[in-house]
Amino acid sequence: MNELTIKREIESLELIVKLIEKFVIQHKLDNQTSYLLNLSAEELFTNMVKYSREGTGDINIILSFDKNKVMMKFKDHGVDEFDITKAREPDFDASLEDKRIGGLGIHLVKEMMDKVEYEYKDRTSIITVFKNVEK
Amino acid sequence: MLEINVGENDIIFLKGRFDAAQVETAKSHLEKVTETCTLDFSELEYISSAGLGVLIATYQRLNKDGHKIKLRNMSKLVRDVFKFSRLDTLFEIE
Repeated sequence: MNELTIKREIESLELIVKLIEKFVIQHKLDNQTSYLLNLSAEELFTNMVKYSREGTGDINIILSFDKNKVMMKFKDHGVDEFDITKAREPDFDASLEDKRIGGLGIHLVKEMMDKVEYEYKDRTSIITVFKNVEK
Repeated sequence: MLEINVGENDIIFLKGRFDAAQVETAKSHLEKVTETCTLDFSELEYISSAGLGVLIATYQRLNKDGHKIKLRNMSKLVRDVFKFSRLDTLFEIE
């Protein structure tokens, strides 16, 4: 199990990158899995920084690997409920001229990971993503 | 860390990680671009939606004056991000 507690600020992204780098080496994961973990972690974390500014606590990240499945969990404390599994999809029909980036990060997480779960209790948002890994 | 360098024929080379922490660095370079340009991604290891946002904003600014952005030499993993964002058909990718 690899865990990290970080402050709700974009500068913490560097710590997440280091945590994932260590985890990838420890479990001998491939480049693609490494990329997907980095991308999911960044998109989920930056969403928490951007949209839960009122959050009163730090953010916990937990990574684990079992039976060829990677699990990454984010716990965002002291925030309002926002179920990302029900978030609105970006407007893919917009031309590049009218394109807006809103919602794209969460869309990428849902597309590229195998499973995304959301739970809300005691004013804490818990997001868990899973990726099956071929080894 | 993201490095941006301008090479021969004004091709702009991006190297490293284009993540949310690098948005201001990227903007400060790309805001100087005023004409059609080519971005070379051969040493770009990673891009997230934050990076895509900067590229889209740059495209939109240039497009108002009839200019565009061409992207080239993407790795498969970076191209997948464009594909899942459905931007692979909107940007001109060599």
